[in-house]
Amino acid sequence: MFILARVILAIPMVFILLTVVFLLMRVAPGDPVSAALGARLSAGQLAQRRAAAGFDRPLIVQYGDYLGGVVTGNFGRTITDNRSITQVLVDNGGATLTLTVAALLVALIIGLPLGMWAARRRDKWDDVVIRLFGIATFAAPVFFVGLLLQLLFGKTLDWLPTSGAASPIVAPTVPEKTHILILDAALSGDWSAFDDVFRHLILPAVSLGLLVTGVLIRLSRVNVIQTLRSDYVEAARARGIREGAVVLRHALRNAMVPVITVTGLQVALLLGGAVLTEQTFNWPGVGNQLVGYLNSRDYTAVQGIITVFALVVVVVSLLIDIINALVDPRIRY
Amino acid sequence: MSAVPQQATAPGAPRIAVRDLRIWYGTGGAPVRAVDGVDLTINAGQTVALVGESGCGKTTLGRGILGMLPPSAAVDGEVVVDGVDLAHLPPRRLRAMRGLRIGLVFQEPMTRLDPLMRIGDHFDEVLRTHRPKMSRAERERESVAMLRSLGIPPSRIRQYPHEFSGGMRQRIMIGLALVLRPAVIVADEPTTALDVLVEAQIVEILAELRRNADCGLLLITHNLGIVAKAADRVAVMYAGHIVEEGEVDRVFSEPAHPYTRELLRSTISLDTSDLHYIPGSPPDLSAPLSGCLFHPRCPDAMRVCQSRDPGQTATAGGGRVSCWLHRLDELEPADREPLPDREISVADEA
Amino acid sequence: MSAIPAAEATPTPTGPAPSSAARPGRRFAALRSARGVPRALLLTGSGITLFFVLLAVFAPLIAPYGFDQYSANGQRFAKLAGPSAHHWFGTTVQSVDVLSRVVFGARTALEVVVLAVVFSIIIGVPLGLLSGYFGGLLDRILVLVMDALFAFPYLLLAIVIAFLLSDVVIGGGVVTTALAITVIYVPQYFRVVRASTLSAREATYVEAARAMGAPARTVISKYLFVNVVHSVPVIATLNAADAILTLAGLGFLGYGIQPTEAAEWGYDLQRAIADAGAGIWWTALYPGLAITVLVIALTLVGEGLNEVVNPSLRRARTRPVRLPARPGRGRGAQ
Repeated sequence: MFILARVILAIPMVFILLTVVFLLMRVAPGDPVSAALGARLSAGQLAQRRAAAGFDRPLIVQYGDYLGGVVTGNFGRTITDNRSITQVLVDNGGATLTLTVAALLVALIIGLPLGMWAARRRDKWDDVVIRLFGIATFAAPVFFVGLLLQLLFGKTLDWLPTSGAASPIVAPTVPEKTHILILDAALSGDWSAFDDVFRHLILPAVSLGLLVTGVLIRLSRVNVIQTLRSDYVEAARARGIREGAVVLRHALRNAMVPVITVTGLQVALLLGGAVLTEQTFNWPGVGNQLVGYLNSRDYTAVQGIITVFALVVVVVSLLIDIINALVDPRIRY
Repeated sequence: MSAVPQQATAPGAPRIAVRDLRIWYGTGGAPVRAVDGVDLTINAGQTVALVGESGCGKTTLGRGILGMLPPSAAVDGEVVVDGVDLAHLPPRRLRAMRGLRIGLVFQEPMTRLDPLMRIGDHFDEVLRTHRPKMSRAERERESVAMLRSLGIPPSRIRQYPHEFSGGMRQRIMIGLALVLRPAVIVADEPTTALDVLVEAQIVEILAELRRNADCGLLLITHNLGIVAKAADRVAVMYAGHIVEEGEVDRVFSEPAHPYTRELLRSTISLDTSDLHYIPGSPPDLSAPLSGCLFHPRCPDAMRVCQSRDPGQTATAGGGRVSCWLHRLDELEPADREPLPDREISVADEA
Repeated sequence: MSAIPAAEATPTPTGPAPSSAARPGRRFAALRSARGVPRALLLTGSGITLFFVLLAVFAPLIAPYGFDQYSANGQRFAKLAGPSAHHWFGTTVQSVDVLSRVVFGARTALEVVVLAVVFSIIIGVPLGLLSGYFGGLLDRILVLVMDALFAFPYLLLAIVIAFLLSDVVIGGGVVTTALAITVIYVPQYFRVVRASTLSAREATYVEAARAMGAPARTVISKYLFVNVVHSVPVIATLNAADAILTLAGLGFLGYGIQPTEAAEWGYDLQRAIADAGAGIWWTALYPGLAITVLVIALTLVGEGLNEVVNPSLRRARTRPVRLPARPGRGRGAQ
């Protein structure tokens, strides 16, 4: 019931987002085909391509087409290399998904414990150090952190690879099943391949993860400070509940509700950071593709990929609300 | 209460004895002497009401008994519960005593239950913490029995706090404090946040508790009606001191301390013809004070009250009072001279 | 890169401004009263920010060479030379002095950030005021659009805008980049200002003014603006920190300032990827540090201001007392 209501509420948001994307991509004068291919094709060929892609029709019709396409899962085709956006997602989505999920894990593993510790040690020296660390991880551009990690672990120590998602000799040996390389490597049972893929993931995931870590530290710190001061925590102490249990069962659990919500909002930060991380580590993800299409002035490809990113943001916020409803009985109905 | 007490305590035996308790708060300047030399004993099955104006140290005393004070507080004196002095217990052992030997019921029940936890789990948590050997089934049985005795259908044990009304939540809080049959329960203004009808229910439950359980109840309140209904004895607190203590009937009919008398006169009831209040306000507890602390506001103040502490004098019915009016025979005639009419600043109160 | 810190660090702007924030006099009193660690952090942040501002303003005097200068006295600088007495921070692959690029980069950053913040305020604050004051259909549409922009991955939004602007409309450069960044921050100012307008609108003195027939223009400019504008400095500072990162992100992807136009830290870092592969660290370290240190400093200022504006975030300090020894047992107890 709750889930259904929440899904219905998301529809206007999706509609507005799609409209914004469409308008953004079409405010530019000229048409996408000549922007992308103008230098390479003759006027006749261009007109033909325009007609084939439907760019000669009125804007409102194109808008309807676009919305209809999105509803049916068709995000259009690229102009420069004539791939469907769906194909781009199949080919490169797995890498971006792996990177963002791994980065989120890194952020959670580092950020939550540090934030909670800082909250318990409020205004002590370790709290100040952790807060400064949080600010620093957020302040350092993800590509700068990436470069430093490359210099340290890739060059000076020579422990980890710094480019791509797998070694060139390993990648072709992994059978494609899920289009998520690390899963495929694990499924193939070839541990040396999995090890190779995993080692390639570490530096990009840590770079991107540190970006979100700062947000998580701040977030969990503030919320745990609040719940530690709450009436029910004091009441639990008055019942003689052990301090460890008070902190874990009462303070942390309650602090998690807002933490989950805002972590969900970080998906926008994460996707933006992913584009930069993919550039830094030559990671074969959607962000890398996006930059490529931007450089070749392929408007429909950009439009399609941006649309997908926008939908991901909406879907994640939907998921977060559902998770929150599972955690917090007050939200359910 | 339907529950059978686990250790039988002879009726009338003291369950808690507070001796010369002092609780001072650090601020930046002079310490605030919130509780300054309090003695108080509560016997099994007895309810002692603690009354006084806001800011007189009632809540600090209640919290101090459990050792639930902010870090800036310093405690000194004895709080003996069943032979153990809580005031000098290391934190770990004090924690183990809370909930087990001594329970606390708070003023506002709405925010005191963990919103993410079912009611049953609250009970389960307390029982599991203090009775690790109890089986799950036993714990559940205890919780259900407790809820039933408080008039909450056991079927609601799997519900969350937000599904209960304020009065029900306060009953649950009382149940949580009571489920281990502690020696003492401190109830800090348990009805202040509730509406009148619910208040009556809670008072009924507290009165019931007095009749059936062998625990002592310290009922902190400023509602004298509740005192009359639910308490055996009453302790009147002023500026960190207990100025009078005795049986409720005696104190209400023949108040021995001028402050008690004025407090009773200030109560509004149906036959109140004109409103009475005590001019002035309680003293600043961080300022240096001498003599009887009430003397600046006392209509009966004498010269001696300014300079010398009256100590304690026994009253009829095993009570006591701190007032020179009860030790007149010890005074020189000059000491007994009334203080000249003073300007009692009412503006202070604004 | 994110729009979140501002919203997170400032509980006030999402709700009505507290009364203490409405009086500048009190704010400065609070500034003086800030103590200990928060005060130290605020002062450090302000100091570093000031240092970068001075770097930016006096860049031509401070930098040893020009931002695209690769030779001096007819002699070309060494390519990718490590730090030395002549080039404290080394040189790049194009033989440009890294120190000079870092110093001139501060100038670019300052220009873009100041423009972006000014644009955002010029657009966001009036929109928020109008939307909050008049309500109705305009308000609903604006809220929907702003929420959509706010939910969007902001770096992508900036990239797309920078891409469109530079491609077809006005070409690249400082103004283009500033405009791209502006689009990200307008929704924040809009939300905050709209929220405080909604609450200020109901305030007694505004109602009185309206009841006396003051035209909307007067009410908004005379009463609401003054009241609402106090929440702006905190967001502006935090947004400035964010804008530095976005600018660097754009530069890193090649959508910021063109390298011939000015020095830009993000662009330098992009060029440093290839150097890092060869183990050359100085082309990455110094511009990266400049970004990081400046963003940290601005964040400290923003959070410090926030704490000053919202005294509720501060904690009263208490010291434990020591009870004096007792004069014998008890004060006259039986």
